[in-house]
Amino acid sequence: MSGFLQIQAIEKRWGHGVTIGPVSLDIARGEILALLGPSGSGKTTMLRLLAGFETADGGRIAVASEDVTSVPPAQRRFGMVFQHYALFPHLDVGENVGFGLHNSPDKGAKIAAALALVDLAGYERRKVHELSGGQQQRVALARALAPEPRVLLLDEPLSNLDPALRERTRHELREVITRVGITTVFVTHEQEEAFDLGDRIAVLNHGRLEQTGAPDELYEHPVNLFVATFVGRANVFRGNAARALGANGQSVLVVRPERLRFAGVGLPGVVRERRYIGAAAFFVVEGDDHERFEVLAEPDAAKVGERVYVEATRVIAL
Amino acid sequence: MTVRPKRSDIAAAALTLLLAWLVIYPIFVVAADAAHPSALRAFLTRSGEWAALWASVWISLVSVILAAAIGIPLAFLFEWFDFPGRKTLGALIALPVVLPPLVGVIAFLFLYGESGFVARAIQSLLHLQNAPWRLQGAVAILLVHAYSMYVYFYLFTRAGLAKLDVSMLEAAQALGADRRATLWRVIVPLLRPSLVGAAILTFMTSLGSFSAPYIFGGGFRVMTTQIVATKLNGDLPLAMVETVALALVAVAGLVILRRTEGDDILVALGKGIAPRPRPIRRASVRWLAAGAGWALAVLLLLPHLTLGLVSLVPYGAWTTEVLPPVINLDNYRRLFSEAERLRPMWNSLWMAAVSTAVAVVIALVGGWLVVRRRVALRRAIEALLVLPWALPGTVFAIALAITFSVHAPLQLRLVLVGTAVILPLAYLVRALPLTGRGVLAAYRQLDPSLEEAAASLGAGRWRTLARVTLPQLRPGLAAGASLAFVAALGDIVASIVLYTYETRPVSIEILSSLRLSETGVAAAFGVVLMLVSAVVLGVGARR
Repeated sequence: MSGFLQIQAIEKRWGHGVTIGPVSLDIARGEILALLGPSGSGKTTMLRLLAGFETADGGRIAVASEDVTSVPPAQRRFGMVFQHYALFPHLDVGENVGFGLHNSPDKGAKIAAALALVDLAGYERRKVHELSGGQQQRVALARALAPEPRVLLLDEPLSNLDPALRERTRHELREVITRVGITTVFVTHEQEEAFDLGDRIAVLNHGRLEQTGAPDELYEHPVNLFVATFVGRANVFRGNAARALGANGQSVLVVRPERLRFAGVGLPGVVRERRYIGAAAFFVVEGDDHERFEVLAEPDAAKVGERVYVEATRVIAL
Repeated sequence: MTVRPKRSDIAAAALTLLLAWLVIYPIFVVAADAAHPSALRAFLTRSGEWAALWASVWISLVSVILAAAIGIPLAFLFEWFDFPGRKTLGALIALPVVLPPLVGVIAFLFLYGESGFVARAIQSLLHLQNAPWRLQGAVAILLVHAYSMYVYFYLFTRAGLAKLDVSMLEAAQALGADRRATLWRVIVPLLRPSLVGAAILTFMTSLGSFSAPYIFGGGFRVMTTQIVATKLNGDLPLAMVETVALALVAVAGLVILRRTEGDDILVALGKGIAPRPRPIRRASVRWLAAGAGWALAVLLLLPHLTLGLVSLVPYGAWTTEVLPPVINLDNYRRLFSEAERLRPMWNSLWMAAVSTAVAVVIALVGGWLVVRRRVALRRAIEALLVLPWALPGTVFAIALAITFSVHAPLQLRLVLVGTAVILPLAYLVRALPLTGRGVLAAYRQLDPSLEEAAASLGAGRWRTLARVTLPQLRPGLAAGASLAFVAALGDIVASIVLYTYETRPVSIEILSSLRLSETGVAAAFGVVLMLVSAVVLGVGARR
């Protein structure tokens, strides 16, 4: 398989022994790929390697079979939306969006089209600092898309917005990207954002690629404990507790809270805490070996202090 | 894999060498040559030398105390109390700091000097035979210093007070501290970095002060005037020893004062809300405060108004009268119609412009290397850019005069003294800290992702520089450049050591006009300097 954007064994070595990579990824034309990982996992470095702001110490990057590994950012034709947008404060909205366009008779029309795409038609003469955070984000997107880049890169695109705005902006962002049909790589540390926005997710940890796959694949079939616990809530069971839930041998069991339920038999424990979230409740149960785990169940399924038995409807054996 | 030196590292090495050659090398040459046994003996044994050195130190210390005594209360008055005219006055009384020292000094001379406005008025009022006082010696110098340097304390303290978090004062009160306790246990410790900053600036400025001791000193010598006098007497070895002694005092003073600075704790605590100025409730007190404020402003601006008046009096027309009998524009006409008088003006303008332009380019390259490329030599570059600020101007003037009066290309020494190059070079050295600080501070505040955004949108290096970096650096750059330009325009410290008749700047022309008793022409030059400086600084401060 050969993707539109190919990352082959790309590597970046920082001082004091920190190494990012080698990472290999193939991204299809029009695909949206999320780079998901905790802070310090190297996801931002990966994005900056793609943009050309960092030079790789090994490996290669190619777009449509053209090697761009050592092409400077200005010639790479990758659009980028920065975490804090990096809008030029001394230029107005129109000048920002037109910055990457050549001087041609239809420049004004292109700016207008880019602004219309992000639902900001007629905002050309506005000052950047007069805009709300959400509007600034959309201007940054319009500016990145206006020169018709080959690949769109987004660095934590929603982290600067308040939570109420985040979900709506996420859907707008997805809509614009799919309408343009551009190949996109974005960085996030939030699983929900990655699930909602990405066609595929690459999970990074300590500079290494842990697993790549569609959201449900990562959730249901994580390849290791890190992916299992980082992507979604997870209870980890070992030893007796794992055997009580049906594990055979020495394997570690990972069970999502919604895959546990109270039953007549199974793993015994005492309910220590109940966290009500509306439609359901999380019950924190302490097992006989003092291991604690979460069960997602009907709000009135158990009481604090009650002795319960828990069984699993689906387990992930690692 | 072979490690190829990066282009930025080569540029950094080149810049470091250039700066070292300009800033450090001349000092080394002087220090090496100063190790001359007979000159050393002369310095150590002559009482006049020690007296001058000691005078420099105590004049500077007393200047700090006087400037603090005026500046700090003023800052509290204007920052904490509201009265009619607060804003206008608050800006007006910061004015003396932006004027060339020489202009302030001659303005003072025309107002308070023995044949000045005030002395004449009192003389005629009391029918005295002679002038009621002679403005001379240490007292005169201290007066001028206090008058021009309180601004440092005023501005620094106001800035410190504005950064103060009102909730911290409220917390102190909630914990039971009364006003006095709040002042001494909360406000003063928080203001300490600002106060020490002002003290350092005042100390360094008065240590390097030349025009005030030169014009008012008479027989009273401080080190700067002593050095220039020794140099003019032709005793170069002794001048070098004196220069090194002054440099050592400056460095020692800086180190000692820096020690008392403490950590800038305000930064760590983040920004708070500054206390709002309190309106003064009692009408009588409010008007008293306003009246005192206005009276003070007039007092502080009076020298410059006097300068304007003197510049309008033609040669020889004002002898014994209290008010000038004739007023016209004769002096200005002579200034702009006589080629020989116009020349210093052009000299000062082009030399200041060239030195500022070069200092700006060096600062930009330095800022890029230090902040953006984070080259290995960044500390060296930054230190070299700031160093000329830490040493009195006279030290550099003598160092350049000695280093560049010998033709020895292998030692990187050329004969530049006597050419048109030496003064702009001296101004450049003095300009480096001003443009360097402005550009470095602006570069540090500049979000690097702005330049990356430009690159990702296809802009090359030069387009990014022109359309993104420079517009963003503009405020810091303009502020530094305008200060550097004004400093060069009014410079006397380096000029008096290095000028030639062909390249004489305005300051030298003012001195020679004074010597010929052409006070009107000298004042007119002063007014022109003042106006050009004000315009340049006004443009530089525009956002």
